[in-house]
Amino acid sequence: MKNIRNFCIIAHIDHGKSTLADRLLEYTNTITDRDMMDQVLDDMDLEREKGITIKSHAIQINYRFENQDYIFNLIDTPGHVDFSYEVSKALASCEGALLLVDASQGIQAQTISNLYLALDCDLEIIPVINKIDMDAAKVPEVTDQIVELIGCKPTDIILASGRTGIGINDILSAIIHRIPAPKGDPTLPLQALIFDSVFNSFRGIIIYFRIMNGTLSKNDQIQFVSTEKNYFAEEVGILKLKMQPKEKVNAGDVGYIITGIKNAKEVKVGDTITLAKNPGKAIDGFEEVKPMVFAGIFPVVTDDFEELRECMEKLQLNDSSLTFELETSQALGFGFRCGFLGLLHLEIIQERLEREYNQTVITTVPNVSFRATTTKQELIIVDNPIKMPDPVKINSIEEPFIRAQIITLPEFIGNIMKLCLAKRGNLLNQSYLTQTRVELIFEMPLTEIVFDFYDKLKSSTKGYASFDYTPCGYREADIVKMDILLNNEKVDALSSLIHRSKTHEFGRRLCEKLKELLPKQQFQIAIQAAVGAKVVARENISALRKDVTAKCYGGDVSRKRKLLEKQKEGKKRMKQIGNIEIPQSAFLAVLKLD
Amino acid sequence: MAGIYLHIPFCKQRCSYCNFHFTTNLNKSYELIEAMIKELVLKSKLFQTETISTIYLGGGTPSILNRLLIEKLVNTIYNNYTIETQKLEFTLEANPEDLIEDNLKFWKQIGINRLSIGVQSMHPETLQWFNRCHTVKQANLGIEKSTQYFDNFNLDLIYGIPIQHHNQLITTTQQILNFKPTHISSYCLTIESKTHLKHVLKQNPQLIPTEQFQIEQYNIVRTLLGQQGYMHYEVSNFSLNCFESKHNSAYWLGKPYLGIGPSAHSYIYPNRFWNISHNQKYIADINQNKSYYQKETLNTHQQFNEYIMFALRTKRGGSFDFIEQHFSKTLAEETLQKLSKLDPNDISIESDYFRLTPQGWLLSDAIASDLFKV
Repeated sequence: MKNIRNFCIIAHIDHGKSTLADRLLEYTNTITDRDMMDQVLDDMDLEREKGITIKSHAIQINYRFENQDYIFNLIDTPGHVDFSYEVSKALASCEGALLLVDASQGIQAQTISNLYLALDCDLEIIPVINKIDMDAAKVPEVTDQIVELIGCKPTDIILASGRTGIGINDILSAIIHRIPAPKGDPTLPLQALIFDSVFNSFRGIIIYFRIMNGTLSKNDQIQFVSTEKNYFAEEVGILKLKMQPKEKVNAGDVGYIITGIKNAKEVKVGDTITLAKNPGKAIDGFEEVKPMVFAGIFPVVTDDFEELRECMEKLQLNDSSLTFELETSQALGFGFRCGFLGLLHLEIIQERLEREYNQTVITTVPNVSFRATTTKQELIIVDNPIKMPDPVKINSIEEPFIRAQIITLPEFIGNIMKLCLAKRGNLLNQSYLTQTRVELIFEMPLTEIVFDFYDKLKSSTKGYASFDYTPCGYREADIVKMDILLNNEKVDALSSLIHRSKTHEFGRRLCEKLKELLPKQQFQIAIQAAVGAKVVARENISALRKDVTAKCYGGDVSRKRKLLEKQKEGKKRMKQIGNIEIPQSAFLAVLKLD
Repeated sequence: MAGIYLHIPFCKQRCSYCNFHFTTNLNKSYELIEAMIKELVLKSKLFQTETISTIYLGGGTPSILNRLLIEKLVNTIYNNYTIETQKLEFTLEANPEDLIEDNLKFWKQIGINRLSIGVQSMHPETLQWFNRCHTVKQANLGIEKSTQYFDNFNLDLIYGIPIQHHNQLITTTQQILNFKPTHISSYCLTIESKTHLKHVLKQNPQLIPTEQFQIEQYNIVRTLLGQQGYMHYEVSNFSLNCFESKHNSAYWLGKPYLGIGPSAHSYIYPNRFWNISHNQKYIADINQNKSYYQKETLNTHQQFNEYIMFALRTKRGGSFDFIEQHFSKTLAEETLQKLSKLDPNDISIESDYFRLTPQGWLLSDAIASDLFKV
């Protein structure tokens, strides 16, 4: 055990984590040039494109150093705010972390919050400044930032370049010398922390774990502490570039187990694996991951519902944080009310449905989960506009709040203040991390960041702001349901739950956007936004009056027919509400408000 | 009953609104006509059992074509096809500046009995703006001359032009009516992509004609022509009684026709063919016996769609019986049901027939695509 090193890399998106990981694998001969694919650890298409690691993975590296054989387990962590619970479990499986900071970008908010998570887990931090070979590198400045942040000595910081390989050997030696070997007793009852799982269509769920105490062997009867369910260890092993089956995995090591579980829901990140016959205690810190953002997902063509259901079920097999239940909409027919960890998670699910499962879906207005207390003192969870009780029966409504951490340059403080106050935020603290880096802490309603917060933050800081948040409880708020009516017919899929002070502005913008997106039809269309019976905004679309081509002779027939057939195809994809045809894009209008 | 269309892809210059297939280079006209003659001979096999009742020389500007070449083309038709001599409608498209005595005599002599004259406007600024070759004076002289040889002729008119206001349109229309043509085609200006006009309007978006403006002008033309006894029998076509264009009507009735020349289309149930839109390739492919056209076979839905498309553009309209017999009872019922929902000002449904009103024609495309099956 003394020659095992478990570590992860903490870095902001684009700070070069994947490239550095590739380099470590290469320098330790874990992979050869031939099978060296760029960014080995990110193997989902979507991850490569978005440049983020969505699901964490792990890989074992063998390294001979000063005549000793070492085993490194590099645990990869997801890099987005939506996945901070997963990050914390990956961190808890390590004894050390490389804190990777881009030499030209400096420290970002997310790096700091992940760093705090790592310090909570008592990890040994090895600071690394990456991309020092770039022209824009500001090594002295970034060094100052790191020194101030973690209180290390400037000489503790390794200067590196994942691209050219500078500093890689220093990193390898620091891993050995500075990160402690895992502690743990192989003779104690088994305690293995689940830090991730993936779905394999042939083998079922593959669970990744770190053994704290005890030993896990093939053919063991195992138990998950939170569910107390027993399973049979069909295969255990360690994670090389591919899985490598072993007879057993010992305390301190990282490995995988296959039990034939088919549904990711049964496997919960943070749970403890133990042995059925000699159970150990749960490892601290286990939580059920709760969805934060909710939205409806509907098939564009109503008949495709069953197919969509199958796809959702398959998706959930490898993404247990996705929750869904059946939802029926007058406008959109059968679909699902889904819960997501955050907006990015929503986007990822939507894209995976479209790319991997070839589904065309409509996503409805996302909202957070509110708590309504009725006059009869019943508590109702409102995570869908249709669940909003009649206003006269509501005693009070509470909305979830977050603690938002924004790190930016001093010149943008004004813009950020303006933005966050407009979003009903409340400044809690402002502190200078360094002379050129300010940290602002706000308390804000979660619902305000669901719509267009990221984009606005980006545009009001020219991109020089990073953002992270943690939930911090519920507060009472004046939340109302706003409906959209087309020629007096309510379109349920366009209803939203918003703060009363925002109804006029939001209603106006939504009506304007819909006016832009709805095609003219053979009659006038009135678009209204209403809270209860009160109309808060209105727009009209005049009737289509002329749609005819001037010429239709022998040479025009085919082209014209094809053009009109294409239009018909488009109309078929539209949703019919009353006699109004609504294109798919209109349902996304709310996400695209300028 | 069948028709032949000959596409003569040459023009003196390009009109600003035109995106048709043609060239202003006449050097290869001889080779091209030779190739068209070959095509005529090749395709005559397809029409062995058909009688030709209409021939249409269109373009482009067929009136600029060398008389010898026209004669060769026409003789090829006469020598290889069965012609309905008594009732043949033989149209030539001509530009006003080509309407000179020698041409007119010659055309008449080879059997042409109907002219379609591209007047477009009698408003001088508009003719210039369109980059037309002729002047108002030339139009007056040419048409006047034509009437000495041809009593059956069409005049083309364009309305909805941003620089031709209502009173100018009224004057233009009245001047055109003074020639007492048997037929008037009046087209709403369409801004086609890849035209000079499109470019001009992009630079001057304030000139882009509004829907309202074009509808008003549509109604002006309709009213003026209606007052003089012209029947509005298709979205863009008016005629005196019995002078509907037989050739064009055949398109809308689904009759077979052969299109000869580059980019020309043919229809022989249930197939549509279209020739390559490139003069040189067309010549080369014909001469090397290579395939010079593409083909599609219409399935039942596509046949229905075409039927609907034509029915909703013509005074003749469509018939539910026809739909039931050629397609299905369900489709006939579905069509009736959808059409019944339209504004009564836009459609008339009388027993078995349905037809859009001139007001309804303005929405013809939208209504058609609603009825389409895909």
